[in-house]
Amino acid sequence: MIIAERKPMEEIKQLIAPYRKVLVAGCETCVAVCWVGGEKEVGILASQLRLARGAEGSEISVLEATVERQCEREMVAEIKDKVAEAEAVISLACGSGVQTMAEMFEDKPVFPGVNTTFIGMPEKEGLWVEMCGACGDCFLDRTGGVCPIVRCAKGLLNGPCGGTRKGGKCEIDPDKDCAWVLIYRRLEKQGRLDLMRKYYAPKNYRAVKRPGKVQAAKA
Amino acid sequence: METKIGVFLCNCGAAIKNIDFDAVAEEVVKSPGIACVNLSSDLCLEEGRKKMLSRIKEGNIERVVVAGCSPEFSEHIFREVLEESGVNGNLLSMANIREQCSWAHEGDVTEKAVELVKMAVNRVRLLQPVEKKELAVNKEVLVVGGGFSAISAALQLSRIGLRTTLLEEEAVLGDRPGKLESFYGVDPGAAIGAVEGDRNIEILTSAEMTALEGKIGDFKVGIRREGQEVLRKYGAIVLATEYETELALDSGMKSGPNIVSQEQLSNMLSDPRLKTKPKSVGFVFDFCDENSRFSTLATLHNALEAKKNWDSEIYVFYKSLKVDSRGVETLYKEARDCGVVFLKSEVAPRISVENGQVKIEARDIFLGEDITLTCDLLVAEELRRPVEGSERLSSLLSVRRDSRGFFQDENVHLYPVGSERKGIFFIGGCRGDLDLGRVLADISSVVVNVHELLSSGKALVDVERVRADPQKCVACLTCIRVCPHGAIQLVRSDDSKEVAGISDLACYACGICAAICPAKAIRFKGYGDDETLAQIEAVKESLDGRNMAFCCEHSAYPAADLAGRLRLHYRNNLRIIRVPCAGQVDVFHILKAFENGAASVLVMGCEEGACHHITGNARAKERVRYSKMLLKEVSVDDGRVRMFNLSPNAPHKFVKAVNEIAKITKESGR
Amino acid sequence: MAKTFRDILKTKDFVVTAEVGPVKGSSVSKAIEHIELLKDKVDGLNVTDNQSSVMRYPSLGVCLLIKEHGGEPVFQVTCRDRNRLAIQADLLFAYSRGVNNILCLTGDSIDVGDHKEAKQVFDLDSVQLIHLVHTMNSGKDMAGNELDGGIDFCIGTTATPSADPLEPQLIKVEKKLKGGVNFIQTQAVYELDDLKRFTEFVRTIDGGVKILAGIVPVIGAKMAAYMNENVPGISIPQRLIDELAQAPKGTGVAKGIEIAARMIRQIREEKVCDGVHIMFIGREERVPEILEASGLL
Repeated sequence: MIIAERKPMEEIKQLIAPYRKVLVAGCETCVAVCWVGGEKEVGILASQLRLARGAEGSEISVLEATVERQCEREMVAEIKDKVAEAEAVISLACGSGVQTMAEMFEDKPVFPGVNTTFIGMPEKEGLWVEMCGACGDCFLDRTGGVCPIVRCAKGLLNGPCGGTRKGGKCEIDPDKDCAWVLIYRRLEKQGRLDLMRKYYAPKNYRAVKRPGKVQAAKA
Repeated sequence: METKIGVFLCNCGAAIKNIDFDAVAEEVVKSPGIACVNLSSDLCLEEGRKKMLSRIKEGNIERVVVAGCSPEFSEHIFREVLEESGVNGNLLSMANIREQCSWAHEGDVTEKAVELVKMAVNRVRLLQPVEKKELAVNKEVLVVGGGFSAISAALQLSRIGLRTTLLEEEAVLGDRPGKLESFYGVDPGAAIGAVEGDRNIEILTSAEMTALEGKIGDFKVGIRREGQEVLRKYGAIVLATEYETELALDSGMKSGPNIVSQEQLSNMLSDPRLKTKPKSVGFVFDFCDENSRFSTLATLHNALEAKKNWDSEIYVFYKSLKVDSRGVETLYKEARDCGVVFLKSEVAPRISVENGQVKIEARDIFLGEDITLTCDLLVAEELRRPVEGSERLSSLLSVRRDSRGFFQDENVHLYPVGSERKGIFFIGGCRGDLDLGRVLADISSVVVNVHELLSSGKALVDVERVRADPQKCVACLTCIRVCPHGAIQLVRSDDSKEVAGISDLACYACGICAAICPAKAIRFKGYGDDETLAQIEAVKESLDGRNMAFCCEHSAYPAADLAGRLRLHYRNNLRIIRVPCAGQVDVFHILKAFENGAASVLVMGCEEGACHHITGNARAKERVRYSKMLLKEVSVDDGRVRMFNLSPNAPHKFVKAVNEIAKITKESGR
Repeated sequence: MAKTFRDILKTKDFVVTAEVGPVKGSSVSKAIEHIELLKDKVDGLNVTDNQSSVMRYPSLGVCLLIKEHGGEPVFQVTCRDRNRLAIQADLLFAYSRGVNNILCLTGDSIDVGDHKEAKQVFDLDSVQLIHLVHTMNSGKDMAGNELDGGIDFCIGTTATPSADPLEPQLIKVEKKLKGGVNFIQTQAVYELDDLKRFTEFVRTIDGGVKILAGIVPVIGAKMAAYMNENVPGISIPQRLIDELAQAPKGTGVAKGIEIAARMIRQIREEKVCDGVHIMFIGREERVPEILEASGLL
């Protein structure tokens, strides 16, 4: 799912500096699951903002609302009354949610409260790792199910590079695995190293022409 | 229509003298929904309870606040009164105006008493009834293991009418020789015969557990036997595997013809074809391992045998002789009378092999001299190790192992045979130490526990005291991963959505899941965000300059009570919120306290490694750390939130913590 | 210097190449100094390409200087900073100005350099680059269009004989060899056995490719320990670290040169591979000492 990280408090405070009544809007899908934008985090941020203004000696009124999925117009519409009350909105949803809110309420400044980072999964409780780069040209069948586009720091299709550290760690971060070593081990287990021995021509980087658009075939 | 709240004040036989009860009543009655305020001097006694009962009935009271002694003392009494009067026992909130107010501070404490009652009133308004229900439970028990402990447990369980399955990996039941039975003269054959002939006991040898799902009363176990997999159901699981031993020798030394284990010695002693009888035998034990009751027993028994059978010179090197198991002191006397020599030293002897003999060098404490002995045979010290496959079992059962890899958490709250999951027990060698007395005690304990849980075929549970709302649950799996008691699983809601399902039977109501849920989907009746917020808001006006303490009911709350009983005074600007576990305190609660003007917030839980709910205090510690970060971000002094660990019998520690936080606040100001 | 590098590779017994690192700036005086010092002492002179992801005067620029001063340049091309159009265009330019030797590399990641927020390109990897050069050598560009004026590069690449784990690297080397290379310049080796094992492996796939062992003098025990820990693919044996530690203060560089020369002589005597590639960036003026001490001058 989509993983995001809360923006630094300094940045958020600056965004809402001119306002005295703001709405913190959360989303109960991806960002709730990665502990950044669900109802609980909305409450925590709202508390912090009130404390922050208190410490500065000024006032703020912070409203709270959560939408089931902030990238759906119908669901966002459900909180329109609260949005109307506020002068500005801080959305804790991913970029998709923020933009849906901005589009639905064009007269209100809508600010992102989180940085959307990647598509990933939990490696363990509280730790999320990137898995998919949404490149539009999935290569996973050829690498035993390990994505070389985002899990290899250089996105190589004929890896590894010469920078693999001792024990199979990545050149740029000794805490991260070299994706091509992972691919090697996976294919070796399956007896399919021939896949790694093949030459792969340069990737089609225009598989998804941004801004992307997908039209469902039916309906 | 507002709910009718009845407030009952008690002055404890007029012993509470520093509270003006009339003033309290005057203030309290101003709150909305107060139907009546009554003063009593003996609320917990029969007279007082009768009056309370009639008041509730007369006034059609729907919720009750009792202000008096500690709920640790009397909560259950008043719950019963409510039930008797037709009100759900959960609709009760108590204000501790005795131990934590009157007795804890000098001078008049009426103001604090009023606030504590208001907190209880605010809370009681939001409480919801909790019903009880009977759930059917599976009465069958699975005993994993095939040695003495497992067999004895199965026999006892059968005796109380419970059908039991013995699951043993080996092809036959029974311990290897040299184990428990031979030292106690227990005939292993008889026990095995009894088990084989018992119609309540099913024996599955050459079988292993491959999967485990479900919870107490309803475990689904995958068993593989002879290449086939079956799914069986049980109400409880008893782990009775043994342990393994290895010789504790310095690197470079290994066992050989001269250095043997107790088991090998036993074999030699019972071998009629033994060619040469060793003229001298040395025993070394008790230096590496403090829990050496079994080795003491084995050593003494074997030393005597060797003396009698071989008439050899026997020397026993030890650090301390633990004779507190059944029959051991007698054995010791017998051994000495027979001429076995005992040599005590502080440090393990140095062992080396020279010319086919074993040289033992040690410093004898009583002689005060270094002594060197050469023996034909050395029976070396043995270290106990968890049996192979323990890691796999622990992962299958979702239970932790302790720091040595054995199956008894060093957590005192689980003693003697419990695990962190209801319905899963550990007995005997898998817990790391063994002697007959302990094994029999373990078995009795387990039998009582299992009987209580399963014999009636029904279990009485609180219905949905803690519940994940399927509408709000986002199936992030956090609570499932985090529950220390394995009580939460993925289930299908009514509209086929996959959501978290909390088992009423397996739940311990600690609240760790509720605190961590990112969607606030878990409703914990009595301890939810709303109830907590209500208590904070009750004292909002006066919170400025006050300290808020979240006190766990297994540690800090009783410690605070004890401080009151001992009249250890502390500053009276502390307001305590009682929580089922420090792990139920959320970052959200801490921030709300500050938002409402608290000068400082304390989170107080059990000592590290001794959390009643295993991981609660660790989670609390982490959340306090995270709160500090959030406070720093908004320029609030992060020293104003602190975590303290203490045990329930540490009132001085409680007072010290409170005084410390008062100091911090004074210096840093607001 | 009539012979081209391609010819030298085919005919000479023991090939020697060295490296010139450009400076950060438009000043070319230092580069010219190093070129003059080394051009006649070695068979080919590599020029690094924004090495370690630090922005510098371009490799192609110094290659042209080498050409002007009568030396044989080896144009190092990484895939980190340019996409396939830019690389192809650069190859056309290079060839048109007489630069005909190319070393194909993937390139270090942006994070190790001094422009840490730049976008990493990696439109191609080193294997794809090798294939690309062949395509252009045959008169077409990557999109299949005919070239009006082709190129003909002598193609080289890198490899890491002391990598850990080694197997994935060898699979990559195999792909490079199958793509077709004339020469390999390895990363620094300090353990002859690693080099021997590597050479044996390469020979099972391609008997004709020339292998030049990478030589990087280590000038102190601390540097050696640091490199072992932090530089991927480097494995300096303890006995060399001890030897460096025992060198008297102030003689670190000399000791490093001594050890390097010893290694080169050994490789040559035992005919382990086809030559060496000496890298002493920042101390290019001391490379002649190494050559002398190894008997190559």
